[in-house]
Amino acid sequence: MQITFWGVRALVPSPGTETTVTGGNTLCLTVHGEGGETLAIDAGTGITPWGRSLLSGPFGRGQGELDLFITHPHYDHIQGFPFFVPAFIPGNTIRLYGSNYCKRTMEQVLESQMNPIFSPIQTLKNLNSNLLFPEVGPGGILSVGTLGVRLETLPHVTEQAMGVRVTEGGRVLVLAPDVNYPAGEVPPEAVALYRGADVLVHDVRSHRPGLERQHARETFDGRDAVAAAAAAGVKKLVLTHFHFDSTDAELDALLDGLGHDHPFEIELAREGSTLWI
Amino acid sequence: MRVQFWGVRGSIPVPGPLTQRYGGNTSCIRVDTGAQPVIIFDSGTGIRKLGQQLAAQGGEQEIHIFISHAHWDHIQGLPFFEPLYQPGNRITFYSRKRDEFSLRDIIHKVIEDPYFPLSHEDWKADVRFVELEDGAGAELAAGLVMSSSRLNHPLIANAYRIDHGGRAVVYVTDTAPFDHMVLDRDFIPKAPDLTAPVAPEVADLLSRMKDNLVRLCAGADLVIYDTMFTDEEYNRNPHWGHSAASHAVEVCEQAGARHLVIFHHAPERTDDQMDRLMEDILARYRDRNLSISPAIEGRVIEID
Repeated sequence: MQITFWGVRALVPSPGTETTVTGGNTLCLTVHGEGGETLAIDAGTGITPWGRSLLSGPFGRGQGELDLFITHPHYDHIQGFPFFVPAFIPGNTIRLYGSNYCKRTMEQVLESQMNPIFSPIQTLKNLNSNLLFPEVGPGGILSVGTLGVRLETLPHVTEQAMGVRVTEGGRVLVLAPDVNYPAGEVPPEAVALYRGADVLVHDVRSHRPGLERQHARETFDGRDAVAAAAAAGVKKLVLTHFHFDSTDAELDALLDGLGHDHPFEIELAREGSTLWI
Repeated sequence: MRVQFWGVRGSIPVPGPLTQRYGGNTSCIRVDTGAQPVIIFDSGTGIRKLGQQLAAQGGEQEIHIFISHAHWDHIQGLPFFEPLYQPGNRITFYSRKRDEFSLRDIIHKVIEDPYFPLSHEDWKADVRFVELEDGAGAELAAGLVMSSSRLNHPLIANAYRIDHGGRAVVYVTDTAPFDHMVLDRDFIPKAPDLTAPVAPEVADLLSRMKDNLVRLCAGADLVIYDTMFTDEEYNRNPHWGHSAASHAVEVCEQAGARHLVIFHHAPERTDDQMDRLMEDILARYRDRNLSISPAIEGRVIEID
């Protein structure tokens, strides 16, 4: 099993010379199984270069099938979808998974993103691929080839976001790219989802009472991620969802500041990098 | 006047090593007259850093933001525009008026759930909305005049001209040329036949839209124009609502404008490809009485 990072930024893409190492695209990552099966998590701007890279394969011929998990529909998790070229090619099938958010289904949110005021695409119906919205709720389990997938609802601001646990053979990868813990501690459902992971990909942002609705950079400190990794006994913690103003140098310093005496490794997700598990 | 480019891309921000020189942020331009009010064209992701600069200057600021249209790449930076969250600022948004929706609702929606966990109630600035009838203008301050004209792009697209001290800058994006079809409410699923005759009423409307735009650009010192396409790309996708440099040159020449800025770069165009595109454009129009140069993130053009 391997994971590739296509976008690691929170809130808004941050192009520029100060983010070239870590990357400036908003969230998207892909997981590849041993048999070549693929699933994708989130559709920030990082999904567009990945989409273009798929065109030389089955997706370019309208024979592709993809399971795409949207952890929650904030704009930095969906803004790349209207530019994901495989979604425009007839014959491709894309299954979109995501929980309701603010009483709206994932399909309703994506539909309103394409609204004629905001987008020349006007409606999801104008995408020519086969878009499916399987009803798999929290606690849901499915398999994508040899990859086993379990979904869990985790806290996120005033609503919730999805966490995804992927297993293959004895290997475990957990993706929680945008979560926070308003109760002040890592909740049991999160610890259970992360438990014993070989790799936990976790939001760098921590909960700070009163600041959760702002874009305050001081909350992007990795503290809650370290606490979650420790509580769940994971082997490696990979931080993602970096603040748009954090430069490459500042992120290196942040990693350094988290210390080196943890019972697990810590590293930063970097756009374009692949991690084998 | 001083024009600074904060975002020059169309469609979607494109961070990464291949867009470092021209820039990866979506549309945002500041026109600086050396005094209040602050004038901004569009609020793509480029407005984030402009907002940080304005916020750092402190004080109470009068800011006018002219929205060309509400497609995401022209509004997606707004939640990160710091002056909105500072008390004392007065911020006015402008767009073309449409009966079926209000500018206020559009701007409010962009920062709310499900897209962002914010609300217009978080704004500390005094925010106003002005919807312009077709062709409307206004005096923004003594000697500072804005005028506008409808563009050929779905729904609310408007071009804006700023006149100050005998100098003029025009912002023309997004627009298709005025040759084949009117882009408004209808979704056009595939490229129409460009050789087919154009219905007289359509041709008439297109010709009026173009005349108005040429008039808006008349004698302008600088015209910043949506030239996302090459001619060949336009012929493949004329229904997407964008122009090629050839269309912009035609409007600028008819208007007697002095300087055309190539703008709203295609997201997939790398720096090297942009260099070649510019070489090609400059070679093709070198004998014309028109300067042509590219929009580059961070670039400043002084007009004295």
